[in-house]
Amino acid sequence: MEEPLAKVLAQMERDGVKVDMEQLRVFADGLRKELVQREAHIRELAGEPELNISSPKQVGDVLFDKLKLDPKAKKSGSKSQYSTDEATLVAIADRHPIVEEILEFRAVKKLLSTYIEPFPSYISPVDGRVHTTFNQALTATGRLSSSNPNLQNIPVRSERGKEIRKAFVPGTPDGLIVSADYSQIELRIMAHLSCDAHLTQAFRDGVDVHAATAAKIFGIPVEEVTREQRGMAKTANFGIMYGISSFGLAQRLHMSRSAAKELIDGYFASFPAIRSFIDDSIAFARENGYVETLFGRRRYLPDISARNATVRALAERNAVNAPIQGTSADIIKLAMIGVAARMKEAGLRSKMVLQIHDELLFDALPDEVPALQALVKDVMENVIRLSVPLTVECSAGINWLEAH
Amino acid sequence: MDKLFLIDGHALVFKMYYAFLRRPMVNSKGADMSILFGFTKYLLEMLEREKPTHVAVAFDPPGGTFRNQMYPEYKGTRPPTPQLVIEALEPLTELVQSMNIPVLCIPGFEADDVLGSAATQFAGDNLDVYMVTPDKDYGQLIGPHAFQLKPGKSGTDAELVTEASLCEKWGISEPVQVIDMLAICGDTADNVPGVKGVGEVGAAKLIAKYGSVENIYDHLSELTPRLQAQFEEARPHIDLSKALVTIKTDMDLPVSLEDMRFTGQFQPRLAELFNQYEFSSLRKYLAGHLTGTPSTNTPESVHGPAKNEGPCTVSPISVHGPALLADARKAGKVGLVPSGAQLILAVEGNVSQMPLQEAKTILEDASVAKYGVDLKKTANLLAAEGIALNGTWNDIQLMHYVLNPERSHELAALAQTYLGVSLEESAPATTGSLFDEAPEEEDSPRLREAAVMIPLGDRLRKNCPPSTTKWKSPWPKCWRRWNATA
Repeated sequence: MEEPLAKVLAQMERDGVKVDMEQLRVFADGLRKELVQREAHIRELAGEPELNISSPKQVGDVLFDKLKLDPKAKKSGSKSQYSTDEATLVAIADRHPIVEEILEFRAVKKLLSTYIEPFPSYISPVDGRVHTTFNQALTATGRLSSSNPNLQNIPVRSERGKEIRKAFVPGTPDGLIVSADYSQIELRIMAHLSCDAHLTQAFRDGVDVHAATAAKIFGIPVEEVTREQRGMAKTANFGIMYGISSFGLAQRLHMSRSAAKELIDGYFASFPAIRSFIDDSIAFARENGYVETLFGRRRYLPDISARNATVRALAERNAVNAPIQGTSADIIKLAMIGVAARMKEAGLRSKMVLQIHDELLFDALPDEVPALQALVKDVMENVIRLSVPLTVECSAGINWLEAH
Repeated sequence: MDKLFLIDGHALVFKMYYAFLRRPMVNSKGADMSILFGFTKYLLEMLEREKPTHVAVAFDPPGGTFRNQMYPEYKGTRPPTPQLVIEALEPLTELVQSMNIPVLCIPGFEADDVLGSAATQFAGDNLDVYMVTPDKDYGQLIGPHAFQLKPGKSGTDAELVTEASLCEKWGISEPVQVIDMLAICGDTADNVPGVKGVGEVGAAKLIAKYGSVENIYDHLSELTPRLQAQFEEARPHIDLSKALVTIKTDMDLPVSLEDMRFTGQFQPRLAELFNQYEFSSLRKYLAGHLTGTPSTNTPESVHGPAKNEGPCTVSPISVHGPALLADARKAGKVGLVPSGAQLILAVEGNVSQMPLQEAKTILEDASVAKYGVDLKKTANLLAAEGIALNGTWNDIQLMHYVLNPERSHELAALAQTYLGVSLEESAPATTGSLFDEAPEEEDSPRLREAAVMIPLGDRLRKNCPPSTTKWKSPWPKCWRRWNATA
């Protein structure tokens, strides 16, 4: 499937996607203003009017020397400074408002410098569009990645990141952006691969699968599931797929380790097939040295028999995750080929322009939009028959943000 | 001066096992060749570098040794031998024997004992013995004509330990005192009890002062109270410890010195094994060293003329453009490598470099399959010139990606592994005689790359999982039509 896809990607690379520079500029200006404000605020909180927030050394000194937020903090590293990385800061976030402010500041700064400021250099002077390069042979899981610019990395899930999407616009003045997104494809694949009756049924019935999971775990009817419980079930659902430990879950949900362990035990009690899926995957990896997706894409896991427990644990997580992620990568790739084929057959002049995460993006002509949407949805949902339906959310808008 | 190299095969195998643990070498059949390859390469490099007159390799035998009889807990704390190591023993023995080097593996005795005996019995005025091992226990065997060579990270940084350097390091006066040292500090890895609380440095100091374990016990009162207590505690088993760490030197060896003479001649079997294991990069060590007729059991290689007897290299023939285009059309395949603003096309060992426009017809011909690396990039390059890249794409990079996403997809490495062919310079590409005018600037490395595209592509394709054939496209007609063109 890779070679037909290469042809599709070649075309997409040539086509590129239009970016509204003005929009980005406005956004960047807004961010810069925000940075200045935050900087002033942080300095105020620290009582250090000259503080350079970008200097980890200075920040460390303020947090641990001046404010003494962690008596156990020690200096390490070649420059002998306190560690001020995200993990460290998150851990002490509730001790002083300044920590949260610093984290926010950094987030904004990163957004600005890593993603927004370099953008203009990627815009082709010839057609005013951004032509990313799709790397087909890079990831270990089989997913596509893009570079120059790296579009997979844009923090589009955060509030701020979403604004960036506004800048992706159609190529023609009255055109529309159409977005087609697989909902929960990885969870569905896990349901299919593990043949878990409950999860599969939930998808087939089209119910809220996280609520249904919560209902099963807590032994209550679906209607009574609280928002909180649903959130827990959702985190558990995704966490299990990535091989989360009770420690990780406890951290994620801000609960005690024992409570997290109880949750996980409850999960597996309600979904025994998933437990065996995990065990079988690991066993397969041990015996064969690799794991496979539904389509035979392999990932070799030599560390599965490593003596070092941490290394081995990573390989075990991959043994569970690689078939799932890999299969969803396979499905998306096949869908792309199918969509390209059908679009050509139908003589549509709209173009497929991007593939990000579980989503396909199109630059569409207004009169072709209904046909395009129907075609894309049809292809994506039917490219493979699984034991669960694959649902696709497809909508259009004047830019990527609207379309999502 | 004759040089006898005694190699601790056991230690070397483990060294290779750990070195490749993260990045195992896997051949095209998926078998783990790391230990075999690493060991063989190390050995060959060393032989080339050191040019010994005599060589032998010793392995630990399966099953226990006399030390286990003495002390059942000996090496009890060791984890079980990894499967890869166990499995490597036989093939390694075969490989080494094919080099006409004796392999010593004597039941009941460790490699240490075998090598120790050999070193002691053969070292002399006319023969220097080098014991190749990282194991510190061998220190006791060092003498005026016996040295230890500790292998370093790569073949080159080996550390030579002589009598003088050994004694200086530990402050002792005779190598044999190493036994006493080891008896005291014990060995956690081998589970040899020593004097609890005394380590290497402490042991060395004591032996430097008192000369032997016995002497220490004679002068026990001179020690600090703490040490006295520790030595008292160890008294019951100190003799056992000493016996366990003493390497035997009086074994009757099944081979004579003459048997170990290194002739530098390898058996043809070695070449066969190299082919079987796909050790193409080691073939260069065979040149000139094979006795008898080398077997012609080479793997699929490029149909090039003029093959040297060394590693298989690629020698493409440069031909006139139109001739190549005609061949390619007939074969239904063509390999491509972009070269600057031009394109190199290849089919069946022939290559031709030409400007893009000249290749246009065949590039757009959907009946001719295209072979290359990162065809997507090439296609976009061509599109800028208004040329489409039609026909089935066989992309080396993508095929290998499907086979193993986390390995390097570098062409040279793939050609080596899957075709047994080196893309290195051998002879310059020969030109055909059909030219009216002189050919353009030729890009030799690219020409060679182009020449391997089709064979490599076909070979990789065979290994690829037939993934999409399992899957039924919901729209077969549309699919077929689409697949035929770009």
